[in-house]
Amino acid sequence: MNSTDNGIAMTPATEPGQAPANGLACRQASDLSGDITLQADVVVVGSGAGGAVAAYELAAAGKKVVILEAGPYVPSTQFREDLPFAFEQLYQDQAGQVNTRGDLNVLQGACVGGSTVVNGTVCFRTPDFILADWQRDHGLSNLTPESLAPYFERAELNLAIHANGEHEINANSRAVIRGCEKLGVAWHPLKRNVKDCGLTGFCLAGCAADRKQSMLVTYLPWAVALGASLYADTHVTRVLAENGAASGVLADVIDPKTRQKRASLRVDAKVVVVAAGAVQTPLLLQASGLCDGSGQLGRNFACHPSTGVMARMPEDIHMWRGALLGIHVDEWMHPDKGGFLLEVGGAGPAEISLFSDPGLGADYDRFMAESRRYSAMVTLIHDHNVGRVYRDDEGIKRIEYDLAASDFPAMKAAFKAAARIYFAAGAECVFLPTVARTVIEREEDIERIVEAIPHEPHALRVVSYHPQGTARMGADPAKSVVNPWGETHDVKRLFITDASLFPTSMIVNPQLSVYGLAGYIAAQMLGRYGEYFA
Amino acid sequence: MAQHPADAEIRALSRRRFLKTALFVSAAGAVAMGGTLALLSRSPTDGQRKPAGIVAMSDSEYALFAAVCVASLPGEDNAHGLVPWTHVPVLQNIDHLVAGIPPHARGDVTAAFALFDHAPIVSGWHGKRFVDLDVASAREFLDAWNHGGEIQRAVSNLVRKLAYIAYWREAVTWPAIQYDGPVMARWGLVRYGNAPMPVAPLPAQPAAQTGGG
Repeated sequence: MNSTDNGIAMTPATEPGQAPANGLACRQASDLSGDITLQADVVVVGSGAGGAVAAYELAAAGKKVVILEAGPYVPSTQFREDLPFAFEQLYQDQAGQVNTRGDLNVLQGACVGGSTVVNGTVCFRTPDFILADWQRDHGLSNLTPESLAPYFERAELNLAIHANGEHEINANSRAVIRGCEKLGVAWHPLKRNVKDCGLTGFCLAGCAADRKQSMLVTYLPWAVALGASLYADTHVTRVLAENGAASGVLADVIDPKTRQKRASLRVDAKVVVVAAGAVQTPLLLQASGLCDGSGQLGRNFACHPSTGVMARMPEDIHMWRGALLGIHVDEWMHPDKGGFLLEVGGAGPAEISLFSDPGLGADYDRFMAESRRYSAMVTLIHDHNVGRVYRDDEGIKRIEYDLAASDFPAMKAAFKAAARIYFAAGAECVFLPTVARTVIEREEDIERIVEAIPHEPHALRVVSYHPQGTARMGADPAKSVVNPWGETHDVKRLFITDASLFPTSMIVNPQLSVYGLAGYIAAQMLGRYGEYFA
Repeated sequence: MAQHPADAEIRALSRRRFLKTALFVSAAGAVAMGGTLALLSRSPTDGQRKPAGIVAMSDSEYALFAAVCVASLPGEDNAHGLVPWTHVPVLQNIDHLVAGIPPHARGDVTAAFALFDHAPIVSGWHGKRFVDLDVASAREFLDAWNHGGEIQRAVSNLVRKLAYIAYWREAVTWPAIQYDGPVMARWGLVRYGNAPMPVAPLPAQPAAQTGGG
């Protein structure tokens, strides 16, 4: 055990400047009681992609950093290659976070390390055309491929981000490659933040082998090694501000097992960084009565609504074997070409039952008995920012989001493209992600069957892994929450570094964009806003 | 045992609009059928008690999900070597999922399950509750609701999802489809632990500007 300057015990002990070989020095509810007050240069709310990178960069610059995470600390030694177990231990609302209508599940990590612990590891830099949109429509002329490149490069180097090699392209991906090459459609290996992938396929359950370079095994232990303090089970209830400037936060430390409050925590800080995720960040700022001068806080929610298009192939695929995500098809990614992305990803038996209507009785038995021959593609669309996050009069979290009519054509185009690729690859049939059973058995039926899918609630089986946009960045204080350098327009010394910032959905998996932006904003804090630390 | 994204549908049922719809359906049925409804609402399962260890579901919900499992999951007579659902603690697993429903949503979920159970009395000319339908009729009803309106799709999809999740989370069901389950220990994969401290230099910082942006 190691004693801190607050007299609070923590484990494991660390040598100054060096991360421990395993585990993370982290104070948890079981370690804490009473009223605790801390002083810091920076308090960071959230330990996911945006919070961890900002915390590390600021700690590396010699700042005294306190990181507060609402979720529990679950070391990878407790991961079980069991998705239902992970849902209960590692996900927001035990993976039950949902839009108000109930037909969209919004998945987020809720643990030390945040969504980086449970994501699929896919990394894309922010597409150039997205940055161009942000410059044209939101005044973000400072965010260019060139200005962000050093921050992307830093994250790519630190997190072992690389294009999948041959051994990381499994039979699932190879079936899709076969179809792409027959149609002349370009495909590319996905880039992932994995070191020597163990090919277990359990990314979404947390990597028990620590091959995934999540924040849990990288930036967080590095930040702590450089002096940052990390608190789990710590729910920030309010951002404090005086005279138009942030001055700290209040939090409740809650035992995750009993749900009983164990301690009250106050952190007084020169700078506050909020990186709680695109759902929780606006809720916290709304509860604090801050940052809504534009009326945009909590609005502009987007989420890359995702589905799984599945096909029965002639050969065994065993889609659950090998690297979870192998290749992607970006031919139609630009909005002018369709605005959707296809990624080849596997799943286990429960998820296979949920991707489409698997039938009943003998149909279901046959469907599952043949599951070893299924291949699956994930569809992502460049959705419009039509949603809103808030708490209702009863204090219940609401995510108002329905797939916009203007986005439905992209969704259908993605289904058609996936189906055509599968039939070109020799698929016997294609299962569409509809609530009612929709099976395409002949290529010539694709157009008719897909076009017949109604744009109605509860018609599609849709999941979001990428909530974003609820505290958008922009040059105009009347239209945005955060300025081009990451500080909120309304409250000085208050910065946001998570996917809430994105002014538009970016279509690709967002984690590398968050790493890059968080690094960029941390650099602004140290340079442009360096006086805040005087 | 764990929560699952199927819980999404559960939570959404807390909308008052749903309750209004459910109550409207029930009221309309009652008006249309008068005292017959009360008679048809009775079921031989009404007197049955849930087993010990089932803590979240009511007696009637336990009976409902037993019927859903019969209609949705592999039975003793399946032709593919799948493990019959009766050999797996499916209902216990569903009970665990139901236990995870947040208190503010539980009342409306109860209404949703009751609606689903009673709907066949007035929907589809079945004239009896779901728990009393024969297997073929139960499957016909489930399929019809999957093709029905928003609320029907939501509820039928939910009850089936719970059954699938509860069944496939048991390792005994995996060999029949060649699903491997956890492999790390079997393969002897070494845990890497924390990554070493990075050596990449911090990018050049922008110059300080008084007052920020």
